[in-house]
Amino acid sequence: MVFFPGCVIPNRYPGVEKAVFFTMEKLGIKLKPLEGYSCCPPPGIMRSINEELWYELAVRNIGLSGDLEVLTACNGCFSTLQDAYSISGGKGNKIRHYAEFLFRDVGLEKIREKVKKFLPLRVAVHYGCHLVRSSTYRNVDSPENPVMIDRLVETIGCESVYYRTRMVCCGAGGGVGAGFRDLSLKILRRKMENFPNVDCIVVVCPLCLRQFDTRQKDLDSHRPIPVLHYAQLLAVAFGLDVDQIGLEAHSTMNDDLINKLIKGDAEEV
Amino acid sequence: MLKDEEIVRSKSCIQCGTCVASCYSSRDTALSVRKIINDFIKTGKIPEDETALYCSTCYSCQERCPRGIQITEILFHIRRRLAEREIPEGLMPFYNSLKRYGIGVPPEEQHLKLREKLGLENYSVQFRKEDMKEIREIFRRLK
Repeated sequence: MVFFPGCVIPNRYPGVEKAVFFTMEKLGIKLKPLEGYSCCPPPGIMRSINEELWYELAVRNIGLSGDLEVLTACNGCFSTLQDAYSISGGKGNKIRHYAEFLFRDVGLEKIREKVKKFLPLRVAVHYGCHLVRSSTYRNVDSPENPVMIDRLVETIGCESVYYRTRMVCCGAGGGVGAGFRDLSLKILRRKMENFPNVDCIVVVCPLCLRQFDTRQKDLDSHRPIPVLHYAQLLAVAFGLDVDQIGLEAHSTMNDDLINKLIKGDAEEV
Repeated sequence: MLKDEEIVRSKSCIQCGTCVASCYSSRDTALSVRKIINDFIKTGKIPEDETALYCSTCYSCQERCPRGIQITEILFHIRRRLAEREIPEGLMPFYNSLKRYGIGVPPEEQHLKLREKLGLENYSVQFRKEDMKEIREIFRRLK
């Protein structure tokens, strides 16, 4: 497989990229970087401006991969590359998302076998819209009640805490985060109303990660909750040093979570 | 491209309002997906205002539409028509950065340092002159 990192993972949260390579290596999956890639580019911005440009740039990225499958760890890259691949007449499951690849191809049992340190954390799972919707094109899990990421966090010892707004958008997508910052924050506020008391939020998309990480501070009377990409959690569970998952780039981190990540629990919870 | 069959399907809209009820952006703004779809299927009209840009493309409306109308795809179509008049100001920084570096969100000094600490190489088009020529060529041809 080749890894397509996109823009936000390598250039804002590189710890996620490190974690993706580390976890795939531990699972025995050969993953190499997609050299010379450009921005995917995102549908909310580029497909809303010039669809031909969006398509050509996406198809160029796919072409760089040759016969190999393309792995993404971003919901936006996943949806753009999958849609462009399908428009180009491509067949089969060439474009993969880290979460669905782990859940459907690797399997929970194999993941569990590789765990060195279970992580007994209470987490709020956020799927992000474009991983599962529109189900006409994604077809990876239920668009309204998906279970993949819940199972993936439970497999490494976390408790997934249910909350009412779990399938609500984070507010960053569709160019809203870039173009309409007040509205973007209002959507995040609704998302986080009556949010459960958890150690962290777990996402599988760097745009959602950045939204929770950088904009929670703008919500009134709200103590920011740290947010991690699932790859970072899995890497720690597989034995990567907590110092190596790039937490210095996260603005919502706290010592309580860092200590829990370091300590973990060797016994299954 | 919005397919002809999707335009035909959109005409089966029964104006039930499930789209609006599912829409978080409309709770805080004047965006009414129901009204945009209604105007579009009746007259093919593209709205004068920018409310179609308030859609965060969460696809909840499209997922729940009892007629299976590709609502978000229609909104993309409308947004492109709006961009033909003028590219929305808020999207310009991303667009310009993509054009210049081939990357919408380029790294800053601290991110490059962190990459170095983690032992990650820089392999995007931004760091490869030859590949960057291809991106410029695509922009030149299609902008």
